[in-house]
Amino acid sequence: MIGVELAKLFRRPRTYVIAALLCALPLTVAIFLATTRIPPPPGQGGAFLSAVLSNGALYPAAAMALVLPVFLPVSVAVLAGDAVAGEASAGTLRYLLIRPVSRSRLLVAKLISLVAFVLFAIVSVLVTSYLTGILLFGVSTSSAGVALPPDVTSLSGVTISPAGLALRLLGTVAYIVISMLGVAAIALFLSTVTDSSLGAAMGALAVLVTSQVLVTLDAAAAIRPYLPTRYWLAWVDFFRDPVLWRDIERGAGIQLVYLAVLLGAAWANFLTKDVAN
Amino acid sequence: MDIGRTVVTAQGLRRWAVVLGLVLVLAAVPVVVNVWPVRAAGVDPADLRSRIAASGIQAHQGYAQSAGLLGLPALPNLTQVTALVSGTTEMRTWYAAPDRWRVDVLGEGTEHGLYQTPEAQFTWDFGDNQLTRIEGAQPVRLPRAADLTPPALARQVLSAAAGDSLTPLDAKRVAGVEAAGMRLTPAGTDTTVAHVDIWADPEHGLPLQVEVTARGGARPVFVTRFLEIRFGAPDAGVLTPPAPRPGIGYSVAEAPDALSALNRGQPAPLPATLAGLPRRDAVAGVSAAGVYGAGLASFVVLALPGRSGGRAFRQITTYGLEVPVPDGNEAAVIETGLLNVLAVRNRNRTFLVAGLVGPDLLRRVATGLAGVTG
Repeated sequence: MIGVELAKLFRRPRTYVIAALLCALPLTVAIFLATTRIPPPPGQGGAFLSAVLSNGALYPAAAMALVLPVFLPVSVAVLAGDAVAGEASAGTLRYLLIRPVSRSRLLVAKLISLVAFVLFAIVSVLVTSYLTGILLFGVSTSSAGVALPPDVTSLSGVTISPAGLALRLLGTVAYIVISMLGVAAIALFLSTVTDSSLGAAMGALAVLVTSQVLVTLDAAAAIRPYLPTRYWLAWVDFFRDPVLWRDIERGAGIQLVYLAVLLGAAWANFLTKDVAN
Repeated sequence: MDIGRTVVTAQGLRRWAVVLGLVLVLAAVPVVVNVWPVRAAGVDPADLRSRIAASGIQAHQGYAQSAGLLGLPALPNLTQVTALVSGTTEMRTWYAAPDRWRVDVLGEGTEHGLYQTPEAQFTWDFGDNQLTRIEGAQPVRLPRAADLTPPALARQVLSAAAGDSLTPLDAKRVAGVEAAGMRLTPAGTDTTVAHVDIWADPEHGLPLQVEVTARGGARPVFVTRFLEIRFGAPDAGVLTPPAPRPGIGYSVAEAPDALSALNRGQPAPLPATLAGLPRRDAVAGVSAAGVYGAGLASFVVLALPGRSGGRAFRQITTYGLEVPVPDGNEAAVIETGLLNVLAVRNRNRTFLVAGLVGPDLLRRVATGLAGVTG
């Protein structure tokens, strides 16, 4: 079942179109920055953007900060919203369910396919933004005396070795995948409620936009730690020295809670759903 | 017999009951943690005060957050200071001893580090890619985030308000520690502070939370607290500032903040007394700033040079209220309920006054500064 879903994901051109669009945003920003050499002031604009002009090796981190707030969650919401509702509206859901596979396994396979998409999209952005950063901004010299990969200055001012940078980027990828699990769970649940892919995706995006608004509102401070987008940017803390685990742990925890609850709700709803069309 | 209920419906209800149970269990966790009773033994306020005063040798590391609701506008050259009391500041602290500590101010994709070593202080600014070594003592400087960690603020308040009364407060769990509390109530009427509540670890005396409430206020307008705390010495490597190297800026300064820059501008001398209160911090060579008053009713006066003084005055008149002063001079005050800021324009000179003092005192100060000659 999982293999079927993965094959379906990577056979569809839309997977590559979405990944290409995700890669295009950092590329566009990099071209403007490299052409004008006008970085945003520190603390404004995307994270790390003010630092990439002096070291292009940091551009993958800046690219993550660019795609994470809007582009990546929109992509995940669209794909997850389509996971079940798309099959239902296309009339293929009943054929899927005819096979001797439980509905629970189908849901899990859909979720794993979404995780595979997020991994594919993030790795695409990392690779293309790394190459973009190196080509457009250049790099500082490695303390190891080699040209590539370069040393990178952490947010705390100490040098991150190439191996350390690779580990931190791996941590970033893992954290963003977990962060997107919450989005996927919301959209997947809504996808089992409605037969409209667009409705499910819009519902998930409405939840995320509401969460983003409440995160910035002091009056909503009491519920802020429990909002799904509260810790999305905590991956930046991988680039502090020492790594600040507080928000990373809380962010991963809250996403797992959303995943457990909403996947549970999707399971409860989907297993008794009357698939009529 | 309920003929509408089928086996499928019953299974569906059971599944939803499982999900609902999961939601209830998960939602109950933070509620239970918050209402779990605190069993810390009460500590006599005088005893707690002395433990806090002695806690400067207590090594610790933690994550602290300060939040101010004062709503001060950004003032020229003083933006970082006004932001400290008008917004939320997230800090990581590592403290080994009074001469070996580090405080990082965290932002989304930014970090400002301050390192204290036995030899010098160092600041690191990721946004500016700049490391600065600060040599020598700084007898007068602007407030900074490191002054707002619970230990630093509590000790500062208690040392300034030595004669004010202390009463016990209920214990409270702060950063997982069952902390003993006390309330400091200023005796004087000139200050805007109604009371300062302090909770500290009863064993080590380390302050963990400080809340400042203004007169007439129902809730604190400034709170600083640890969200995480660990007692014990931090690793030596954490307290070592970044090494200067190619690719980052490096400079050496004697006193780098805006106040020192103002002082170098040879501003107008400040009067020896204001509103009947003597200047009490005379430091040789420092004429740009002075502190008047006593205890929590102290206030700071800055003499600003022409151009930046004019900008600051216009900013305050935009957001504040006009204060009548003699001799054809101008003055305006911004009142936040706790921290009040006054600007006085005396011919081509500007005086900026800030303190936890009431508007009546500030009006007398405005009259005094409007009459400064020379």
